[in-house]
Amino acid sequence: MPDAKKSTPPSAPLLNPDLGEQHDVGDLHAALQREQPEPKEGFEPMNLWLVVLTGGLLFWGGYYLANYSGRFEADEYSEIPRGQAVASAAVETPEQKTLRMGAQLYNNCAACHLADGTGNAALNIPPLAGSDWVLADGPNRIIRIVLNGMSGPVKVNGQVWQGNAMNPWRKTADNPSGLADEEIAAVLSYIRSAWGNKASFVTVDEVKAVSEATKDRSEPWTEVDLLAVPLKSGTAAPSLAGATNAPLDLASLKGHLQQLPPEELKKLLEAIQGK
Amino acid sequence: MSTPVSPGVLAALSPRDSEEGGTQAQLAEIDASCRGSVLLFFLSGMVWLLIGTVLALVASYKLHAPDFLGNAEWLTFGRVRTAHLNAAIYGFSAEIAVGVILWLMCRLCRVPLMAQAVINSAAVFWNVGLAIGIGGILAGDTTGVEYLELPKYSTPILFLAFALIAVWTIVIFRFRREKHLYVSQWYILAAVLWFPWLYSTAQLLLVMDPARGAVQAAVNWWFAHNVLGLWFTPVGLASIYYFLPKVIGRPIHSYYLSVLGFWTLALFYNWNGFHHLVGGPFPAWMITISIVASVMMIIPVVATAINHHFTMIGHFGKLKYSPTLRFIVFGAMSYTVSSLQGVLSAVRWFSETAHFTHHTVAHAHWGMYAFFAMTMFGSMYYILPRITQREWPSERLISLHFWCTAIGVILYVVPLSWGGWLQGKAMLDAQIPFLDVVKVTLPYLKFRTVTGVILAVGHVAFFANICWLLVRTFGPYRQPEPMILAGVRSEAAPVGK
Amino acid sequence: MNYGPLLFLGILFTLASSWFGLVLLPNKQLGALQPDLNTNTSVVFPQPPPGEAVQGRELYRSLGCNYCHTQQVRREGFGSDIARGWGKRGSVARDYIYDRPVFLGSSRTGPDLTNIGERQPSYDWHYSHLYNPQTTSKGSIMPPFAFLFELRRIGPEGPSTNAVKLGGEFAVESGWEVYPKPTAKQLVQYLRSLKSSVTLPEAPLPKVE
Repeated sequence: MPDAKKSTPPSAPLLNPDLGEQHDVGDLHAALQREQPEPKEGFEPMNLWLVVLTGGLLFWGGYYLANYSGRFEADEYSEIPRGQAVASAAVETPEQKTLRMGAQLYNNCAACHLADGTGNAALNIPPLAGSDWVLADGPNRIIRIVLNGMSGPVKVNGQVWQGNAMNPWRKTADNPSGLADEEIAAVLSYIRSAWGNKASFVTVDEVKAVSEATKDRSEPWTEVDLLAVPLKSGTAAPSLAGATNAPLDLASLKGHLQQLPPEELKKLLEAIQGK
Repeated sequence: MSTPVSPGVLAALSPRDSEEGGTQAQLAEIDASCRGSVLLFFLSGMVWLLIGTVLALVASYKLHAPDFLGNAEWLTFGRVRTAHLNAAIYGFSAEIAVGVILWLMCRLCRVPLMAQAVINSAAVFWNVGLAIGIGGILAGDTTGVEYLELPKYSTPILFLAFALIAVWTIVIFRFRREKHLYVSQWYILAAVLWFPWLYSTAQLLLVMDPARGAVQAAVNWWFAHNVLGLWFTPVGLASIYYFLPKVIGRPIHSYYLSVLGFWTLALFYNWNGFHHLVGGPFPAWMITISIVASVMMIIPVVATAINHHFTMIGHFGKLKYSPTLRFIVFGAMSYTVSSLQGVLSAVRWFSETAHFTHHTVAHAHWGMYAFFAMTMFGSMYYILPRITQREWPSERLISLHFWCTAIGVILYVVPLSWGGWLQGKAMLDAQIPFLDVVKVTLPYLKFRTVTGVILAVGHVAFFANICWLLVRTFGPYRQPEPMILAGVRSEAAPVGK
Repeated sequence: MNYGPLLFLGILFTLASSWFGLVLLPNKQLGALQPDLNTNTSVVFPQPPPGEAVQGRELYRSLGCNYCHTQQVRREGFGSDIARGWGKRGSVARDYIYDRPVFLGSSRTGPDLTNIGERQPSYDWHYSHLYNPQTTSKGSIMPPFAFLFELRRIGPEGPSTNAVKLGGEFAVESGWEVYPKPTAKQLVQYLRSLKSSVTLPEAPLPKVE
């Protein structure tokens, strides 16, 4: 191999070949001279195991293509061959199914009320976890809130929330992506059972009854309107317009009383006590 | 440029034998003929590398600090990430690829580069078109089609540039003086034939006159995957097949493996496209066929790996001396690993977890950087001294470049692949709220920014060395000292770096 | 393999095979899909984006929303998309016939948006979220799009209905409000139009109960 380095006598001028000056060709082509010959191919035989691997992969490929292509149909979107048992869902009770569907549907609510049900103070969205409205004895008010939405101030767990509004979720011809009655039952059952909440499930019949009763309503509910609604069917909300013979809805009464300013409450108590 | 080699030059080259001397003289002439064009492409590519690196760092930082430069509409993440991708792919990767293609084709065909002016104007068109396009993306004119975001007003210029280069490469091939077709030439010829077809189909069916609905996504991923598999991969493999045996002075292990590797790549790789759409709105057969083709890729990848490994075996010691060899071997090993990662990612079982996660980003960089960019760096370390007829000025900068990029890219792709997998597992659990899935990824995203800075240091070191080399080329002439690593300076060096 | 023409033919034939299989064939199978008319519900689906949603779509493209959000729901049993409430059924090709370009997306840095119009129809929520994602989603890495809004003095009639609702640490100084520019409104109209829980012959909605 030729010398990779040559030395020019110190007295020789530095010369730039790019300017056409005489140069030391050997120096210029130093890199070239160091080079090995141009590459060539050797002729080692192919490894047998590689041939076997190739054959094996081709065989697997053909099998997979034949069985998992939905018969090459344009509208077969699942690769699972027909007749092959779908991974069987674990056997679940109806309650577990309701909770599972409800959890899935809750994603509609989670954007505002958050995944952990704590709401968003910055956006004036009340929590659902531990909320007295959610945990109330009967579901008639919360079904109404989901169906038609809610606006205006609302007192939740003693704190007033205002400055925001909730959209309606009733499924109608104008809002086909709303929630059907069964879906409302499922999601409310989930909300009443999640994050430490412990309240009864909401049945589809309860939702259907409310949905039917309010089918012509289009405005969102206000807190005052809702408090006039009995929590459970078969009970009556206390009405100041006249007495009824239906059993008194105590939770409703309590709600009414909580709305009264302290002076009014004091006057009422004095009146009851006959003072 | 096509002047006959003078006898004086022949004699001065002190050949081992006259055939070798003749070849060396030819090669000297070829190197000289390539100088302007290849330099132009390499320099353009390096500038785009620096631009792409800055855009990458901004994008990466924004992912874990979203308020950073948050008020600048032109720098919003969706635009700066896109600008990075296009600068890295159509700027750095493609222009360096063209420089390497031209030099390799000329050398292997034993034909000097003719009518450089045409190639040089292609380079200018390319850079102008790309600059306009990247500006357009930042201004919001992106087409919205992945890998094809450059606006309509910039792409015809790019296509023209590319067409010129493809034609020129084929002309060089047509007028070759060397009868034997070496494996690198198959890959390069394939790449320059495949890319215009891919690009024109994609532009037509996605940008000019979009196909209906989901068919766009089909064409999109046929195109995007094939840019990686049928344009960049062949150029990378062509380089490895040339530089590996060339530097160590041994033949490639097996011609038969080269043939098997080339034709199985050609046959299977282009069917892979829909593995980007597993679980997507397509009939099952389209996804299945791409999964099958992806798994078949094991054949060419293993064949190539055997070929490279058995060529290198016994010569790993030479990695101490040759920067070219270091980058090329790193690239070749990364090719094997990233390809196998790709095969795994295509399988439905894996995709169910890893699809839509940062695992895909990590894989993309494993292929495009750890394989392709490193291979291109290695090629430049060999080519630049030969076309400038000077030696690399700084060993320290070479070492800095190598260690920063090698360590940087490993630290990038391995942790982010793992982070992406964890992200996918969290996403699969519907009980985990989405914001908590995001939290899982944060440490990996922050670490990725750190590795990006390491890579940036490497890039700057390389760019500085190139600039210094050019100062030596066009500045006052100085006695060249052969630049080989490990402080070796004399004929004791066992390698032809 | 020294024969140039053979090499050339092989190179062409191999790409031609996938050009046929992955470009032509899908176009043949899916390229002429029409919207479906459901005879039971009289619903035609899909429909082109309504009104300002068209401009909103252009903004979605221009801002690069596609790089963090997907618009494809994977079928039941593959991934947890449906369990996460991102849709009631898997997406199919017909869902995208009016999309130019198609925004399938390839990364879920943020959630899937195929049915965001069903899940989140509230203007207020979207305005707050776009102006500063931290207001609705603390810890989110989505960038703020405050440049789609303007800070302006509250007029004599009081705060505007569409002003962005900002409270607590995000509130602006009193007397001022953050108001969505037309671009913000168009983008939100586009997001609200993203609904696809409609039954199709090739992808029926599962029955609840």
